[in-house]
Amino acid sequence: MGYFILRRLLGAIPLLLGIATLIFFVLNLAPGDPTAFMFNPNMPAEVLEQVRRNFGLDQPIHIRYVKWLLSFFQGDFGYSFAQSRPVADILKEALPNTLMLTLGALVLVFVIGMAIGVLQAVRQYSLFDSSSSIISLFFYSMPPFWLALMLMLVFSLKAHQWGWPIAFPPTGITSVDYEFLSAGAKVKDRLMHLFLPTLTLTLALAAGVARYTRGQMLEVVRQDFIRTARAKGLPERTVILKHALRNSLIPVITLLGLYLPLLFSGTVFIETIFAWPGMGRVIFDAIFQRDYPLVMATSFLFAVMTVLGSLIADVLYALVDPRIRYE
Amino acid sequence: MSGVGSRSARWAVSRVLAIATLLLAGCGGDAGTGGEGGGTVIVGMRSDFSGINPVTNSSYYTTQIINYGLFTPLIQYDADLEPEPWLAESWELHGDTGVTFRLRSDVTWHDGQPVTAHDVLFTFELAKDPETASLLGTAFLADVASASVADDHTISFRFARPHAQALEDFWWPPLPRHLLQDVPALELTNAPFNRQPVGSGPFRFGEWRANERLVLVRNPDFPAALGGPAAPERLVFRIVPEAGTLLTELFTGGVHVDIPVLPEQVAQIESNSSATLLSFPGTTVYFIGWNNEKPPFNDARVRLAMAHAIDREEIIQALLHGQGEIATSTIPPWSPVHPGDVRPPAFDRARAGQLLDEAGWTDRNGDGIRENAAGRPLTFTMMSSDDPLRRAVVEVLQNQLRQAGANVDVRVMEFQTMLAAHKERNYDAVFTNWVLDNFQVAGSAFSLFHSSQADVPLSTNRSGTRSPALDRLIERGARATDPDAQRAAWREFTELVQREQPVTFMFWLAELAAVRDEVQGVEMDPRGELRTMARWTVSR
Amino acid sequence: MSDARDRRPDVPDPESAAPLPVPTEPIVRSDAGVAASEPLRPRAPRYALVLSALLPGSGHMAMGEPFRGLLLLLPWGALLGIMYWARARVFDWQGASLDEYVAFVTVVALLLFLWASGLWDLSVGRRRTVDAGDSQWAIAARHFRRNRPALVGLGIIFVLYLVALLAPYLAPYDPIAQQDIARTSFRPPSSEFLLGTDKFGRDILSRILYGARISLSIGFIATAISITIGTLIGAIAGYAGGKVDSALMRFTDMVLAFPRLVLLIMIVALFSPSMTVIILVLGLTQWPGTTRIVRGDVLSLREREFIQAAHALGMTGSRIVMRHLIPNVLAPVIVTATLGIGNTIVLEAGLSFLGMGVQPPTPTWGSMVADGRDNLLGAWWVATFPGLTIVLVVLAFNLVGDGLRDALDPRLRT
Repeated sequence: MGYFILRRLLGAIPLLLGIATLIFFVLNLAPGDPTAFMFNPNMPAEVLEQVRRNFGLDQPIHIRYVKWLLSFFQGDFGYSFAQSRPVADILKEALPNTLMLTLGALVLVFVIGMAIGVLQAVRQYSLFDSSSSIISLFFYSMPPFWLALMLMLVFSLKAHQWGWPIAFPPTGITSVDYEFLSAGAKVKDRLMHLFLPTLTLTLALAAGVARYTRGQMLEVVRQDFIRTARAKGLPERTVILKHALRNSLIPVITLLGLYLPLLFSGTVFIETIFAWPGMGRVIFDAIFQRDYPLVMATSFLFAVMTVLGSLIADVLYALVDPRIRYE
Repeated sequence: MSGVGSRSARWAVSRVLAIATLLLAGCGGDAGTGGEGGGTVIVGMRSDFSGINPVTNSSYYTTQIINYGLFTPLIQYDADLEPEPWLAESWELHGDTGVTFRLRSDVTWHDGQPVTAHDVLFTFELAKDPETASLLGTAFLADVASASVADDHTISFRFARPHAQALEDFWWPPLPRHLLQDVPALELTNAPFNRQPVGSGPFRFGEWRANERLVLVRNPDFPAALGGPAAPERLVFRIVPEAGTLLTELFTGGVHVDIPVLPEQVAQIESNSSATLLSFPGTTVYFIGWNNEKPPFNDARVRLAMAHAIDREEIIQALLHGQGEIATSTIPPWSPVHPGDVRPPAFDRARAGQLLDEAGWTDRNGDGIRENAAGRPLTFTMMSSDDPLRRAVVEVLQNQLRQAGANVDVRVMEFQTMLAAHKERNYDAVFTNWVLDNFQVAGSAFSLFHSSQADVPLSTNRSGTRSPALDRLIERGARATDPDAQRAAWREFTELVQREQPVTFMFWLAELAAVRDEVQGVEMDPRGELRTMARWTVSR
Repeated sequence: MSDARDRRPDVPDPESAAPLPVPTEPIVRSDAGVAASEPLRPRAPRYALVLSALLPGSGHMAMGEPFRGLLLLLPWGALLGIMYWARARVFDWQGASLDEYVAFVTVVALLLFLWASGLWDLSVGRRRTVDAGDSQWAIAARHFRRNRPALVGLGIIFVLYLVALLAPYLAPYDPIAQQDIARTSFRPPSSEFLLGTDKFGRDILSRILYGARISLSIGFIATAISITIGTLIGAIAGYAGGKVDSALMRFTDMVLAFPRLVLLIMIVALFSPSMTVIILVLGLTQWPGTTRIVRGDVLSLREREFIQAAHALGMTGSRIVMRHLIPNVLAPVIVTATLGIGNTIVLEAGLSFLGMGVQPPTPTWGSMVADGRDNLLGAWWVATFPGLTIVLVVLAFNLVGDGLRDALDPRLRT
C-alpha cells in the first residue's frame, strides 16, 4: 500500500510539472498585459514600462519561466500583481472561506444523495422513486447560477418583503457586526449566511450522487450474494444497509475523488452570486486581471487536488473493498 | 488624465453645483440623531479596492477612500471646484515659478505622530522616484520640479514650467515618513502598509478582508476645523460583485448605500419604498472610436454619415433610462466652457445615405448593405468590453447602423483583450469611454486628438487622429487665460470635432447610486460618490 | 474549471475510473417476454385507403383505431395550421433566407411523411412477429419504449428540434431586430408579447425559438466532437496497449487535471468568443471522460474470442478497431453523449454568465439568462423563461439518457 501511494505520488510529479509548464506558457502567450488592467488605462507608456520592469515582465519568457520554477520549488509563490501582497497571504485568506462552504456542502451532498439513491433503489418504480427522480433531475438540469439567483429571490428578497418568519441574508460570510455578537449569535449568524450557498450546492450536486447510488444499488441487489442473504432470512434492513450499500459504496468513492478538488477550488458561480470571498473568485479575478503569479499558484493547487483526489479514491477503494490489493 | 503636454491655462470652473443636479438623500426621519454617533453605515460596492497608498494608487474609488476617508490632502475642491485649504491652511504663489504651503499643526497620524512638512516632502520625492512608477509623480506632478522644507510646517515647491491652476497639482495627501522611509522605492507597491494603512483623515483604518469588506472607524482626534471626527462610528464597505444581488442587499437592508447602480435598475429603485435614487452628472464620456488610419473610416464623410445614422436620444431614453446627456466632446456639460448650443449631427438617415453615396458606398446588389466601387461591402467590426451597458449600446448601434446600410460585426471582448487591440489600433470601430480624472479640458483633448500623440506607439490617441486644425485649437484653448478666449477656442474645437468626427461622442452617463432612507447626509456630485462619507449617519 | 457543474458526474460518469456497467455480450439473445404486442390485422379496405389519402388519419379512424388516427391527424393539422398562420412568410420567396428554406423543406417533408406513413400502415397491414434473433438494439428499443419518462423526454427533444427548424414560421417577431426600444423595452408578458420583451424590446418568445437552434447546435456539435475524439483515443489506447496506451492516458490525465476555467478564458481571450470557438472549446475539453470509459471496455473486449478470431483472420488493426471494437462499445458512448448534450447546454449558459458567451445579437438561451439577471427584480420574465427552457431541455436529455442506459444495460433491465 505504502509503495503504491509512493509510486503514484512519484508518477504525479511529471504530470504536475507538465501542467504547470503548460499553464505558464498559455497564460503568458494570451493577449493582455497585467499592467493594462490594474492601472489607469491612460497612464503614460513609460510609467507602464517601469511597472512591467517592477513585475519582472520585461525579461524574455524562458528566463521568467526558469525563475518562476526555481522560486516555486522553494515554496515561494511570489507577489500578486493585482493585490500587491504575497500570493500565500491571499490563499490563506480565501481557502478557509471556501472550505467552510464546500466541506459542509459535500457532506450534505453525499449523505442526502446516497440516502435518496438507496431509498429509490429499494422502492424501484414506486411513486417515491419516480417523483424524487424527477425532482432531483430538475435541479440537476438547472444552470447553477440560475438556481442560485432563484433561491436568493425567494428565500431572501421575497421572504423579507412578505415578512416570513425567517429571511436569509443574500450575501456574505458574516454580518458586519459579527465581532460584537455573543458566541451563540455568532454561530447562528454564520449558519444563516451559509444557508443559501450550501443549499444551492447541495441541490445541484446531490442529484448526481443520488442517480449514481441508485444505479449502483440496483445492480448490486440483483447479485447472487444478496439473494443468498435474503434466502438466509436476514431482515431486509440488514440486507440493504449491510450488504448492498457497502458494495455499492465503491463506485461512489470515485465520485468523492472527483469532488475533492472542488473543496479547494470553490465554485465561481456560487461565490460570485453570494459574494463569498473564496477560491473560485480568486482564480476567476486573477485570470481576468492577468495576475500571473496568482493564476499559476491557484491552478497548480487545483491540479494537485485533482491528482490527489483520484489517489485518495484509490486508497479508499482498498479500505472499503478487501478484494482490492495494491502491490 | 495623461500628464503629457500642455497643462498650462486650465479653465476656471465655477458654479458647478448650480449646474450639477445634486440630490440629497431623502432625509425622511429625525435628522437630529447625530449627537453621540452615527452608528455603522454599510456601503455596497461591486469590486474591491486596490492598495491604499496615494503614490502607487491609480484607481477611482480607492482615490476617494484615500482623499475623503483615511488621509488628509493638501487641498480639497470646494463647491465651485476651486482649491480650498485643507492640510495646507494657507499658501503663497511665487508668480508662476513656485508655491509655498503653510501646513496645519493640529493634524496627526493615526499613531499619534504629527503630520509635518517632512512627510509631504517624503511623499513628493517618492512619487517622483521613477522606481515607484507612480501615476501621481509622472502625470499629475509633471510640472513640479522640486520641493524644499523650510520648517516643520512650511514646504515650498518649484515648478518645472509656468502653468495656470498650479494649485490643483496638490490634491494628494502625504504619507507617514516614519513608517515608510525604510521601504525601498521598488517595493512600495507591495508594502504591507498599503493593506493596513496608517493615515491622518477623519477615519482610521479598521480591517480589510479582500473581496469581502473594508472597515473604516471614526478617528476621534481629527481637527474640528476640517469637520472633526467622522460621524459614523464605523463605515463598512462590502464587496458584492453581482449588480442584481447588490440591489437585493439594498432592499433587504444588508447595505445602506449601493454604488454604482445600473441604469436599468433605476425603475426598480424608484418604485421601492425603502430606498432613494441619487443621480449626478458624471465624469465619464462614452464614444465610438473610429480607426482614422484605415478604410472606411479614414474618410471623414463616412464617419459623419455614421454620426447622422445614430439616434442618441433613443439610446439615452431606452438604455440609460434618461440617465445621460448628449456629449459633443470631452468637455462635460457642467463645465463653464462647454458650448451648449453646439449639437451633434442630427439623426437623419437620408443625410447619412447621401454622405455615403458621395463617399462611393451604395447598395449595388440590393441586399441592404452598401458596397464600394470594388464591390467590398460596408462591413466592419465594432469592439466593446463585456460590461452590460456597453454591450447593450453596441447592440443598438448595430441595429441603427444596419438601417443606414452598414453591416456591423459586434465583438464583445474581455476588457484586457479589447484594450490591447484598441491601443495597437488593430480595430475598425470601438465603443468605449474616457474618464476625466480631474477638472481639466486641455489634457483630455490633447490626449485623444493631438497629432503629436498619433505616432507614439500605444498612446492615448487611439483613433490615429491627425488634424492640424484640431491641434491648433487645442493649443489655443490650453494657452488662453481669458475666460472668453477659452470659451471661443473650445467652441471652435467642439464644432470641428462634430464636423470631422474623429471619434463620435455619444453621451455623458450620469453617476447613479441608491441610498436607504434611514441614512442621512449623503451628498454626491462630480467630486466623487464618497466625498461626504465622513458625514453619513444611520438612524434606526 | 472550478465550477461544480462540469465535474458533476453523470450516472455513467464520464470521468470516473470505474467502467460503466455495459453489456459485455455483443449479442444478447432473449426468448422470454417478447411476444408480439400488437394484434395482427389484414389489409385495410379500399375506402379506408381513399380516406387516408385525402386526410391522413381518417382512414384509421374509420377502421376503429382512433388513437393511431389522431396520432396522424393532429400533427397534420398542426403543420397545416402553422403554414396558414405564417402564410405570409411561407410563400414569400423574395429574399428568403436559408433559415426559411430549411423551414419550408421541413414542413413539406413532414407532411409527405405523415401522408405516406398513414397509407403505408393501412395498405401493408400488420404482420409483425418476433424473430428468434432479436438484436441487442431491438431489445433495448423495446425496453426504452416501456419507459414513460424517457419517452416524454424524447418527445420534448423531438418537438424542440422541430421548433428549431420551423422557427422562422413560429416566431411572432424577428428575434434580432429591435423595434422602437424606448417604447417596447421590458414589456411584461401580454397577448402582444406572450413572454414579454427584453431591454431592446425584442420578443422573448421569438428569441427562445431561434435560440433553440443555436443552443441545440452548440450542444449537439460540441458533444459530437468530444465523443468522437474520446472514443477514438480510448479505443486506440485500449487496443494498442503498452507505450501508446500509457502515453495517451497520461495525456488524458493532464487534460483532466488542467483547470478548465483557465483554459476557457485563455482561449476566449485569444480568439474572442465566436460560436465556432465556443463549440470547439466545449468539444475539445470534454472528451477525457469518454476516453476512460471506452478504454476500459476495449481492454476487456480485446481478450474476447471474436477479436482473437479477427486477428487470426489477418485483419488490420485499424479495421478491427473501427469494425469490431467501436461498435461494441457504442452503448455507453451513446448514453454519455445524450447526457453530454444537456451538460453542454448548461455549460454554455455558464460561459455566458461569465461574459464569455456567443456574440450578440445571436440569441442563445444561456446569454438570454445572463443578460436578464441584472434586472431580475424588475423584469423577471427576461431571465426566467429562457432559464426554464434550459431546464426543460436538459431535463429531457437526461430523461432520455437515463432511459437509454436502463435499456442498453442488461443488468438494469427488469
